[in-house]
Amino acid sequence: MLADDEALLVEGLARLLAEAGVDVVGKAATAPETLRCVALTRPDVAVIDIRMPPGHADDGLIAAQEIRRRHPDIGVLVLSHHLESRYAMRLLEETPERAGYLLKERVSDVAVLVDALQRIGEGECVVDPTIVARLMSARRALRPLEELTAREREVLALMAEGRSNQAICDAFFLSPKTVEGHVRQIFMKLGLRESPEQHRRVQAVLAFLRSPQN
Amino acid sequence: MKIGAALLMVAGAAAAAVAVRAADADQTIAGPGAGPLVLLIVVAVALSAAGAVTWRRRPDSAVGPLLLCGAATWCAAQLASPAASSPVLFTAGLAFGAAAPAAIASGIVPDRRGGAVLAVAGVGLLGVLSALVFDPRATGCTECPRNLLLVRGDADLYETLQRAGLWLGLAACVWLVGGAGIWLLRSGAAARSRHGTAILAAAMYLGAVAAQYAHGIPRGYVSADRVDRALWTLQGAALLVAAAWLASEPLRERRARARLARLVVDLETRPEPRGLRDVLARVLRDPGLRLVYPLPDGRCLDAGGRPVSPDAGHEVTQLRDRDLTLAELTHTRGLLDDPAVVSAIASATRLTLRNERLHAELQTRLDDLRAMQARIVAAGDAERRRLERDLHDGAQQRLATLAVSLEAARAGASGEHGATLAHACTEVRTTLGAMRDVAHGLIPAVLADEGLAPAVEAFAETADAEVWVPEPLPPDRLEPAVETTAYHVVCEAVRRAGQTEVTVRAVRQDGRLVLSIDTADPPAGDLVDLDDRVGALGGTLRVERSDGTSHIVAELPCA
Repeated sequence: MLADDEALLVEGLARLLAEAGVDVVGKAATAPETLRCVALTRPDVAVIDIRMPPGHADDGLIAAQEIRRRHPDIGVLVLSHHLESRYAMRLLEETPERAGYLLKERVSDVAVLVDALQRIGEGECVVDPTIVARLMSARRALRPLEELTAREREVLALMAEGRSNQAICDAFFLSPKTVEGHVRQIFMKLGLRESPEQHRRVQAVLAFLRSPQN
Repeated sequence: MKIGAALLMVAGAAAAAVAVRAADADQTIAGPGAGPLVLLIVVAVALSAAGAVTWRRRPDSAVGPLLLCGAATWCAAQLASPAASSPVLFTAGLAFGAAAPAAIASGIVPDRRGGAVLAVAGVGLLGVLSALVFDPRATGCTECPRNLLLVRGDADLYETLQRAGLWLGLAACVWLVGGAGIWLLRSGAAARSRHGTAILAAAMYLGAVAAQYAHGIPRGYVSADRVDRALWTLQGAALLVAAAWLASEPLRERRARARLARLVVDLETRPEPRGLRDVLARVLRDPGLRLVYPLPDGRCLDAGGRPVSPDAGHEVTQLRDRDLTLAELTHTRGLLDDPAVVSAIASATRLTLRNERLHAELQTRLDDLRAMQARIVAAGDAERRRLERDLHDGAQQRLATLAVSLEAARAGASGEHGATLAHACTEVRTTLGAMRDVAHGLIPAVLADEGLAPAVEAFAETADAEVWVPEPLPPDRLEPAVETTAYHVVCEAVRRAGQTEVTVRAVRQDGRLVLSIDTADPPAGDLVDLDDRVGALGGTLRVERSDGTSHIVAELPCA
């Protein structure tokens, strides 16, 4: 389902998604409406704008968290104009699975949108690459990241975007074993504790990138 | 001249009374013995002195003549005795013997009506009217001289008049004593210290007179038995106190002027900035004194430049210099009744008042300026927030919608159209990105939505310089102007620090937010714009250097 207070956008998106083979089963324009619609229509993923009535601050984000709490089997994709990683972290805090944060400017790129929806539907999480890129290019991340090889940095970026090992294999044409090896190296060099679940590692990586300690 | 004549008259009355006593003291109201004689003379002298002094100082007031009258009639009361040899003296004693209370009451106690009633009773009923029908020989006083005012002897009428006079006199005295008591209770300390003693003594005197009248009512006339004589002695003592107090008024005034002179010396040798109020309160003995400077625009300021509201229930005296009101004194009632004192204070303190007034005006103008600066800064910030919101909710949303529509159109188009639309799509996305940066530059959403701490963290994540925030910043929300300014200071300091490491700390203490930004190199250029912004909110900004690091410390007031 789609939730945004800009009706034209909702219509346009619905059409785009329909052409790409995604069913839009509901539309909402306010945060309370979104929760009701989700409960009624039970979509696979709810696409929600971060700023919605009545509060116009981060109501959409709060609604997304609520949906994850109440309906663990329904995914959320939060669209936002803000590129601060803080909002992505808040979204992924409680339950990183089936949650995604994309910048609104990507919304017209159907391929990216559909890919994100699919990943969320399969239980993974999505973080906009722009946000990851900004974090990784920050000055205070430079030194710790220097310890990694170029390939390791690429793998780290994809991990921060929430991609699974399989996706990383596909992206770089590597074998799963190689990817696992890279992941282990990365965690060791950065001094992070390896977490059993792939979903949790997004949080660890993002947290590290947000405040890398020497 | 008039005073001299009056004094002569009093002297005459006193001499006559002494003579009558000398003839036969037993028959007088005062009684035999040296004590009453001394009291008689001393009281007469005291009352005369008080009357003369008061008449001299206040020629327009009736108090002086009334007191002299009182002195004369005090002596005259002794003349209505068989021992008086001359009929003139005897008649005078009859007519005016009971007039003393009226004169004293009218002179000292501030109640005209009571005094008037007492006069009716004393001079009228008990005095002249009774004298008209009093035949001493017919009532058995064979030694009494002739009553010159006698019209027709009528003992019953005499008795009626006497009783009526006694009752009326008693009532009037009680009324006056009550009034004096109420006045004493209600008036402020300053007024009490000025008039209280005289009024209390006069009230005691009138109380004794009332007792004497009450004692005389069963009999029908005032006599000279032991009770009467005791009451007479009491009256004398009370009158003595009152008269002495009134006569010493010039001395007390001189002391007040000396205190004022000390005030001038005090101010010159130990000028206390904004301490004029304390000095005046001390000298005038009114701790609740307030000194207020009225401005032409209607506001009233205290010495520190803070506006004060008018205080009800107190008297306000203006201290003027020609036609300009320099200041206003708010004080207890009656403290500055004497215009001479007021003008003395005004001239003694003129320079200090001008000085303090200038300070107060300056201070309040500074405060006004600060408030205006703060408003300007706040208006600017509010405008930026509004712009960011408008961009987000308006232009950015529309562009996103446009991108979606273009994308939908591209799906349906083919070939050249498809390529053009794809190009357009990319352009729109780029524009959206640029617009996002503009909105972020206006004011980051995190700052507006969540406050300073998250905003600085977010800034630190992606800054050009290495920004470290070792301890978490205070998480509570502050006033928008403070948050925006603090964030602005951090961003600018980091920007001007170049490529070095920057450490940001902030703590809240004593109602201020203390922001310290440490950099290896001093910031490039000056920080005047930051200083202005911080100063507009009433804060301070300084740059220190120690151990090879530059510290930019900004302190902002936060409630």
